[in-house]
Amino acid sequence: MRDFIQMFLNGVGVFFVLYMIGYATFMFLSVVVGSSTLYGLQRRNMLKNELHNDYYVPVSILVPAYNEEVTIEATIHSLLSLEYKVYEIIVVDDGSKDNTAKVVRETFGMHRINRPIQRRVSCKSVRFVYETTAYKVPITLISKENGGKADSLNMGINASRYPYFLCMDADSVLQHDSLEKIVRPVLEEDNIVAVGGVVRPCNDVEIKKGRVVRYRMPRKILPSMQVLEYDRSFLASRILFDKFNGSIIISGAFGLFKKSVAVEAGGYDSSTVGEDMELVVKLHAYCRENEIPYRIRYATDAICWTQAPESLRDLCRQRRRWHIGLFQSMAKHRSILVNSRYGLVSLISYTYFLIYELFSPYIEVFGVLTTLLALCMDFLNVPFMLLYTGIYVMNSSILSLTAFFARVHTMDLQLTPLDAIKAMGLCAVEVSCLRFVLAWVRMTALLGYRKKRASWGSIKRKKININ
Amino acid sequence: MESGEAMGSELLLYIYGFICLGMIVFNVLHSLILKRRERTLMEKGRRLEWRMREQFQRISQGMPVDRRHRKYLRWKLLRVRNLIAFERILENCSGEEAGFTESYLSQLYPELLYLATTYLKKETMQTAYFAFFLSRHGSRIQTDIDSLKDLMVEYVRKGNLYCRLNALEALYALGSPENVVRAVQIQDEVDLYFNEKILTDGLLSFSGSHRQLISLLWESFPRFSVNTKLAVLNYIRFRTGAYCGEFYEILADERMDKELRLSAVRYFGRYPYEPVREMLLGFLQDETPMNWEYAAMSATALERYPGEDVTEALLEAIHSRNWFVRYNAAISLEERQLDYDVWLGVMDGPDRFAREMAAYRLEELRRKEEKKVEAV
Repeated sequence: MRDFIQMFLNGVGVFFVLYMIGYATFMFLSVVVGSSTLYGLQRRNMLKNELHNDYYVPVSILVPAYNEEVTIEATIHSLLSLEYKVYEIIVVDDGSKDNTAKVVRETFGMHRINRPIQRRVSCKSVRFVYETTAYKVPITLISKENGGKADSLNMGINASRYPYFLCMDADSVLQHDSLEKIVRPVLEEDNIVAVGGVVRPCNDVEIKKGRVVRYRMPRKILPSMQVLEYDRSFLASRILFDKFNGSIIISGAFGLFKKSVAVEAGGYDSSTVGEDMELVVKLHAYCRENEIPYRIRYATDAICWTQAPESLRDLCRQRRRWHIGLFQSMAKHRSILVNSRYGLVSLISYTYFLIYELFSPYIEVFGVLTTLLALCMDFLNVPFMLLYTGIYVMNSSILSLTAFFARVHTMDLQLTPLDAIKAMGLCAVEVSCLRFVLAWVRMTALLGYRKKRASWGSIKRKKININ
Repeated sequence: MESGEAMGSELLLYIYGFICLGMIVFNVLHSLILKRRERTLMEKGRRLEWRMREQFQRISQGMPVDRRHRKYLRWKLLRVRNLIAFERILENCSGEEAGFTESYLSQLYPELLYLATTYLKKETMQTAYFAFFLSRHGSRIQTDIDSLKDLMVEYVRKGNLYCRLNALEALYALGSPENVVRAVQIQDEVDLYFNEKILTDGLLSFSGSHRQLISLLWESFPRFSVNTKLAVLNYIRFRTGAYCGEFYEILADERMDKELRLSAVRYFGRYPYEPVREMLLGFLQDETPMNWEYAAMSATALERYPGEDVTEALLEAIHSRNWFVRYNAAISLEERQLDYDVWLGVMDGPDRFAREMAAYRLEELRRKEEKKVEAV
């Protein structure tokens, strides 16, 4: 029996060594490619290698809202201060239980209309439509029967007038130049079907008319750790995936899509909670299966500020949702796995998300359990294990910090020495503690997911500091 | 889990860690260098500004730009950072000084020509920056010599999108139609994607004679690719209604690309042209599903064509099976200021989609009238 356990633990050991090498190599490549891309971009902008004229692609901004009475007014005001000329704002109230629709109607003095809406993608019925043309751009409010975020976005697509639509969250703020920046790839390259932007936590950041007037790390520890996590994820994997047209995630908080292709692919799937990822994977599948040349890009300088959950409970809820969404998208499009038709999307992107995102919580928790077993059976070389863990934590922390500082420097944000120290201190805690808490949350996420698969996640909202 | 198994990965992690540490040090150093560079740039800018002011003083006294200053710039502006500082100073010149910059830059023509030749051979990002510089200040250079414009056409050949873009903008600013047409031909031949919207907007910003530019573009039109043809047609649509005959030929030619023909329909929506009326009515009444775009565009274009035949065709079109045809026809009917009775007739009809559309447009009409009353 003891021999068998030893053999089993040896096998586990080999597996984890390979697993760690794979992960460390991927993260390393991502951070190196990401940082150098950002610095290259900075130089490019300095030498005016950019589109600096007013080239406008008309965009419909879709704001799905459910119980957002606290934040919706600020969000629309921030959208009205965007430095862009041709766009419209469509707020879709998904049968909120609070006064979301009333707040929008009264704040912006809207009038009711009987606008016919073409059903190009399926969605629930309209209750009423309000509109105003008294502002810089037209604002439309559509109140519909409750059907989830994907259903609301589909309604927004149906009601949109322009060839590109931008989806965002009702609690997010777009930076003043974000629309111009996210549209740029469409002008620079042919066959662009989607563009993802950068999402950054805005807790305790002061934003005035879409401009950051004071940047600081959040006061609370949990959102601070998420700042590091977001930077690592947005800087790292997404820039690397972008290099080979392999992005399979565009955040629901900030993404631009070509309407005609999204409609032909079937729009958002309202049976999933990860509708943002599902749409992107579906676009890959649709274009590849129909041999349509396409490109999905990532705009590293298009910024959207969002509220990171401040309590562990909210964070766990959010991550549970994300993990269910990941599972649903990957399960629905499992034909991509080991499929030569999908090239690097299958070989690198899908495989990475399968092993290091979807299965990682199980692998990590399994790792902890086998370590405990080895400890009980006295097979564990404790000093070596501590050294190994220490190296892993240090390596991950350095990668996080590299991503964080690269982002801060290339975005011209001013960081106080105290915030820099805070970031350095928290990165180790994030890697060694928060990561394992979230691994547990993600591991248990799939238990009973069917019950809540099309529901909105409820996270406590507070007003964004946008003056 | 014995130590031997993991030694390789441990070493790898050490290596990655050290490289990342190096990157953090690079980040910090880079940030410090950037700050220092910005200070240096400002310092250099101040010195350069002082020297330029001296020259403006000379110009105000009717004297030419000093030969030593020209020599100094010829050498100094070879470095792109100095060129950035130079550009910033010119950009910030205002009032009386702005008036002197024209004479100043015109006298620097030989130096700028030398710089243009040198920058053409540099790394493409720097080449693109020189083109950007000329796009911002090229219009101030008064000279009859075309060498600089010829060189800018060469810049368009570069395989970098921004270099081509900046060079084209410089040519628009320099205002020579012949060179712009040559550049458009070159960019069309180079196998690199160039959005037609950028080309159209760029052509619209041309600082010379649009009439002449359009005439030259039209001469080269058959040689262009569909993408460039579309950009040129859109440009002409925004500038002049004098090309109805030419657009009619495009519209009538069924072998022509669909996008070009649709662009022609838009043209006739902007500039009504009687000979095309029957053709537009034909498109509107064509119920072939594949031709819905012609029908939808024609529904919009016909808004400005008076006559009962058009009104009847539009009233028929709001019963179309295609949503866009119905929608555009309803808007055109609204703009034709039909009697309420006509709308009410549609509202009483059996077609639910047409009723919905009519109700929406009636509402719009009512709101416009309310606004008018409020304004009075």
